[in-house]
Amino acid sequence: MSTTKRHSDLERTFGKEAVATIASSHVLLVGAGGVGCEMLKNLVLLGFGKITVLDLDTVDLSNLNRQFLFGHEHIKQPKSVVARATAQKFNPHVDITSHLANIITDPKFTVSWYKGFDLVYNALDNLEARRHVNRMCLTANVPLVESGTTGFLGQTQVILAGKTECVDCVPKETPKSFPICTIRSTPSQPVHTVVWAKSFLFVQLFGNDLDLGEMDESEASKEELNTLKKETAELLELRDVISKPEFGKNVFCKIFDVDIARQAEHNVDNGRQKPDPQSWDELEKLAKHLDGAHIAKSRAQNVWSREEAFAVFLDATKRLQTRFNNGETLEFDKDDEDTLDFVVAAATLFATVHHVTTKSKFDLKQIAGNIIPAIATTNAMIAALAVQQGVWQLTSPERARDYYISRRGGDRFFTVTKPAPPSSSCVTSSAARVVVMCDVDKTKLSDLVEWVSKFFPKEELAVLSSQLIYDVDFDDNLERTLADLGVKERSFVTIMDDSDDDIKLRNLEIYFEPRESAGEASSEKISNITPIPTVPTYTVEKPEEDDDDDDELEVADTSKRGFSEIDSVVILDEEPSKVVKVDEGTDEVKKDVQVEDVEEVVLLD
Amino acid sequence: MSEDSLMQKRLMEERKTWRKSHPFGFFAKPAKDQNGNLDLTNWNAGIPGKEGTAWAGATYPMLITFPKDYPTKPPRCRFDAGFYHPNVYPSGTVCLSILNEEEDWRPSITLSEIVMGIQELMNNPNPHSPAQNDAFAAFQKNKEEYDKRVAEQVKKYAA
Repeated sequence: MSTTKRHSDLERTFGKEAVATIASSHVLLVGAGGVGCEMLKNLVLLGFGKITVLDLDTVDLSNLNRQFLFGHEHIKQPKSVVARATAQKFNPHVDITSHLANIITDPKFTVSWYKGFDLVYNALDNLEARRHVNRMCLTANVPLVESGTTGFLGQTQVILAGKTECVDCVPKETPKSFPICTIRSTPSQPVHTVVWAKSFLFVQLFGNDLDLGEMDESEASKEELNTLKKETAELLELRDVISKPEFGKNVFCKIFDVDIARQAEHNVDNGRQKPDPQSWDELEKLAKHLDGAHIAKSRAQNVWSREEAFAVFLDATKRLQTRFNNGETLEFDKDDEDTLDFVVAAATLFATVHHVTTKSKFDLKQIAGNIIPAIATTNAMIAALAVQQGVWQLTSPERARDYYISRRGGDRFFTVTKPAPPSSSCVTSSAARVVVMCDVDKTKLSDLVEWVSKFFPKEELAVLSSQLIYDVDFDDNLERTLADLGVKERSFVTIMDDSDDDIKLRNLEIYFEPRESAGEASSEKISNITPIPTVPTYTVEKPEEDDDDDDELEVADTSKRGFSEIDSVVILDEEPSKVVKVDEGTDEVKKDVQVEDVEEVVLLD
Repeated sequence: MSEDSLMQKRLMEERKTWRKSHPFGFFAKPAKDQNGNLDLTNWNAGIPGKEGTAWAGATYPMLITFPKDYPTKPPRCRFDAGFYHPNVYPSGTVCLSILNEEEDWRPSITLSEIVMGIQELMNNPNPHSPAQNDAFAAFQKNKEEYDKRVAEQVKKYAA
């Protein structure tokens, strides 16, 4: 196919000028996974002149169902490299560069490097990298198209410094960790019982070391868990009989009867229903005719009764016992049926004891394995929308929109909104930024404070990296150098207004560009390579109402999701809806749709 | 990188609020890290025993650790390991409803409220959530022994 012919289709769709703009643009794609593969294909077919694709990962067998740029033969090869090679074949006229690298830690990726792109696409699977690229793009003043999917849900959003919401504007859910006291004595959700069974009981009985991952991550809790370990020495004693047939019975009696009875006696908990100890004799009778192995296989979709769970518990314990006694190191793995059956049965019994809702093996497996289904269709939809918004951003920015595939009750919605203005409470999007060149080995903290005071005119200011470096009550380090205080090139320092004034300054973020990439050396200790910003102010009494977004102020009832204006709402699937009605035969949408209740989308793939 | 800017902002506010006024007899300040900067996520604090109670006469040192997602999640408050109190884990961690995300923690709870809540807990242990066997058993069944151990602890921290 000739270039002209390839372009003629695009020209009819986007217009001649737009196609020329696309062809002369250089875009960065961060991530070549589920969404990234789809995006790269779209970018290549649209004829973007230069594309840089970056990923730190290698191809895995489990990627192949949806990351279609990879084949069996590419397993263990770098995603970025393979994606480039495959996509290049779709269109030989585009120039693709690939990096096998970590976007956060690799020293190549400075603010100056970001400035070399006309547009950045995020196709990431973790919040840390999202937030990093967000901040770098805000600092470099490069438009960012941020996307993500989780299962059937997804979103894409255009981020422009000072004009739109950024990644940090909408609070994100963080992975939950569970205090051990909750897990052990007051579980209230199925996930508590699963974490207990998997990270506590299983490990105590068959493992080498406590799995701290989901129990809690910090140092202190490690100590607590160690103490807990001591407290449950009795449980470890049970291991002495792990080679004997009575092991299963001993474990059951201790865990689900004796311990619970003790707890029921001690804990006269406020309003909580007392836990129910389970009697071995009673359950043994009830489960007499039950085959644990068979239930585990054939009733995976059903919630087990306590006698069914009892039967599976004994059977799975026996299976694990055999493997343990053969010298095998046992670790929980959702795909290892023996370990899964044990955890599901124990969690079900534990849930029964504590009056927690029980779930099927199928459901509990998802919880235990942290399985979030990745769906190729969602990825394709989001990638297509994202790339399209990027095209609008480059060619006619006023047309760019944010898209959400979200859920309300049983319905899924396809929501289109104009990009919302920055949230006034967001520390990231409200900050002013400046990129400087500075010899951190020679520049003292006092030099920095003095330099900043020229355009951050506050007596009471604080200087922060990840730590507090200086404030009015902590001036110990003024005569030390920045490097000495841990401030490095490629890092940010935040200047914060620490005064009690009614009108305060927003944060100022200073990025230290490496000297070699900043060009000419200057005689000044600190010299800015981006213009000195005007640091915005805000009034303290009403911090939620910002005064620096002029024409967008008519959006008075901006919801906490940040939807400013709903262009259209379309029901995505056919399920009957109680909340939103779309008139038959027309795309017109009722104006009274309440979108603020749409549940938060957690971005994962 | 200060990725956790919201946490920082809030902790700076707590620091300033504390600087301007804080409950009498208490102290709280961020610990120094190896670079000589202040680590806003780890505060050294002191909780004085309340006057008129068996706990009076000493200030009990405490380490307050703020997690990454503070103030969504509560800080962890820790006395020395082995601290004698029914609601203190053997590790020294305080078990208190306002410090539990699943119970009464609210992001609006201030540092002053936390340390005063802990002071209050000292003489009013919660029998429903025992955290150590030693002090809990004595508190329930052997008041004499309990009082003796508390008095010993006061003496230990009085200096």
